[in-house]
Amino acid sequence: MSEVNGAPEPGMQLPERVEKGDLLLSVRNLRTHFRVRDGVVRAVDGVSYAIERGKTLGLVGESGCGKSVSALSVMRLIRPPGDIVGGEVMWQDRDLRGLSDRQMRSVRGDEISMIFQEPMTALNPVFNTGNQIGEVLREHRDFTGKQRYERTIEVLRLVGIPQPEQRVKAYPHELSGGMRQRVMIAMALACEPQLLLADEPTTALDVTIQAQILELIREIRARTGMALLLITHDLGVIAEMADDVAVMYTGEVVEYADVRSLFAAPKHPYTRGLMTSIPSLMTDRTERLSTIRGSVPHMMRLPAGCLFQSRCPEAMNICRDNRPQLQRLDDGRTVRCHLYPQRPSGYDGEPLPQARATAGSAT
Amino acid sequence: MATDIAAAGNGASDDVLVSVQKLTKHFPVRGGILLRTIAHVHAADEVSFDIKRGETFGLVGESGCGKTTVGRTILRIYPATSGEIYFGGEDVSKLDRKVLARNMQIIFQDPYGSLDPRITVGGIIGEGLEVHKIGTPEERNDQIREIMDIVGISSHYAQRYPHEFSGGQRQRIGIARALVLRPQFLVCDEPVSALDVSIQSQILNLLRDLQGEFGLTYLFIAHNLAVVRYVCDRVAVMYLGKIVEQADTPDLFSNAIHPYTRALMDAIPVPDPSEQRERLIIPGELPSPTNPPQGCRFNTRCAVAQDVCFNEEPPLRDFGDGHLVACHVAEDFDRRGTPLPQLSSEMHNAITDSVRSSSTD
Repeated sequence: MSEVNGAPEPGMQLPERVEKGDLLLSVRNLRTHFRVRDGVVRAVDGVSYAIERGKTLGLVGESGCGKSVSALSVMRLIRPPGDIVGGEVMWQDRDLRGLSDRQMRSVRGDEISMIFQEPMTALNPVFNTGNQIGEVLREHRDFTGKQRYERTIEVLRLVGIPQPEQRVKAYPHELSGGMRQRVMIAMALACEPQLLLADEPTTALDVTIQAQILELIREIRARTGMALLLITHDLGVIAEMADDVAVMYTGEVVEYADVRSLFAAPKHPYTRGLMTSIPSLMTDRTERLSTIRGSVPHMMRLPAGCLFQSRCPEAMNICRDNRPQLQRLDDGRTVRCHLYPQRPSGYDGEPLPQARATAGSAT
Repeated sequence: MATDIAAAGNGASDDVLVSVQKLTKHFPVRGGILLRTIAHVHAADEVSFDIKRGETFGLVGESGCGKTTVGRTILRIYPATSGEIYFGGEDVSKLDRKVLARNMQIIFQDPYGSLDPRITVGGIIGEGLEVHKIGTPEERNDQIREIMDIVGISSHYAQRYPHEFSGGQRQRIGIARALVLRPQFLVCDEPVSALDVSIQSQILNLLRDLQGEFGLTYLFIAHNLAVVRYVCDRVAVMYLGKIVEQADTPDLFSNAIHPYTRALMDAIPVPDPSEQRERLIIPGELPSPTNPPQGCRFNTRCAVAQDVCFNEEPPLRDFGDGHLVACHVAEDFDRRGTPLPQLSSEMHNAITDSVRSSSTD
């Protein structure tokens, strides 16, 4: 059953423009599975995405869709019972999966850094701010103690922490949530990484603090030319920050496009559902909210065909038994849905009348 | 029930179901060897508002602003430090707890932590009926089944335990538990913020349906302004234990006056990549509620603060049609759409330092 999903069609996994870009990171057909007592959870099952130098890729999806696991896989931070069972993670010209642990450590925190949703659990409570940032520098730079201290103060100032000379001695519990998030960003930026993986960096923060942190990330990105993988469930954050967006559902990418095309015309029924069901400041208050029916299927009881079929308003007969493959539409974006069979050029991407008719007769 | 709502539409003053007057709630902070009270957290200070029968009144603000405290104090989960709460004209502090429980209920944020894992779903929902000795066991079971069907959980599942349900279903169970005694008033404390995005709209629609069906009045507590805008008829914005602005929802969202409200609205990311805009980002964080700033509590983060803002606490003033604003300089910004100046973080730090040194003098 899982093999349905195993065969990638080369060249069709990424949007056309991304495929041709100057790729810094390229994840191809990544599969990360967790062996648990009752079976195998395919948390990431054949995921491909790529980030161009200096660009931002947004990964959107609900909890359990595999977006965080895919980023942890890039960093090789998957622990048993989890295991990366397939695919490649090309970082410039090296496959990170082929590196030794030692080589990987020199990449991690230096060339690629990661920040997490909950800074309190990501920071070590028994070391002060200066120690934690200093540790990153000790690992990756041949600095003297004085140079380390100066660089630490410098990055604390860069992330907007007032009075860094005092805060360098503060322990995580002495800092507010926003300040902790800044310290974690400072740690991640200490070695000026070329890529930052940000896993829900503002979800635990209040909106005014979220606005500050997003502004900070934007500023640093502009100043250093750093690329960003931004993982979030908040489409507003994606719209403001990302160049490209990959939408994930139950371990797969279901739609992948540049941010403007995606928001202007979402193609996958799940993406459409997400966009219309969340109230925004533009939502008509008198109308009922549209919803996505049901809930995310259990990861160990996935259906044979399309994983979204039980919630899809447009499910057809073919969706029941055939897992759709990602395919590229004429505008260059990719989508995983039977509503979009491969068409000769000139096809406008809208579902065919026949497909609609099938959907009607199926019910 | 339906006639009640119709009557509420006339706007007479006895349409007020819940009236909160100068509600203050301080929590003691204990310290030292003897655990003496060394300070107070000013969670809510002289908060006043009326909730009309059948409406949804929103309380918004960031964590620590006191919105949850207000909701819980209304239900007497916490005793008030001072101030009064009236429910249908009666002083809540003098009402019998059981009477209170039959009229006012709460839905909690966390559908995982708020349901007892050792009790079946039917038991959780029916507990209120048992405590209040309503009906025979047979009748209680009928009522449990009825309310489960209403909130969209199959009544076949009454014998199952909470862990067998997803987050959205658990929130439905929490709603059924709150509704089984058929209260008139429901405090919804962040009812959707712990749920997956695709589930939130299901619960919001359900709350809206139930309001129509049972003629419920809601106090809706949330930090997500987009959700509040969709759900609420009127909204009060809280900052550090105080209401800083209150208005009808459309008025608030098109004509926000208070600098904090405007910053809060600007901070919401807009899900439209083609809409570029200048945003007003306020520097700094919420000051400590144990020692709130003198004068206006927002003064440490406000770009337009004047001398008066550091000395006198601004009262809530009516700017027309019940649009209340607590700001000394609001007149200057009541020109709809006047852009507010941006406060730099350096200026903010200077203000914070000066406020801190003056308060220790």
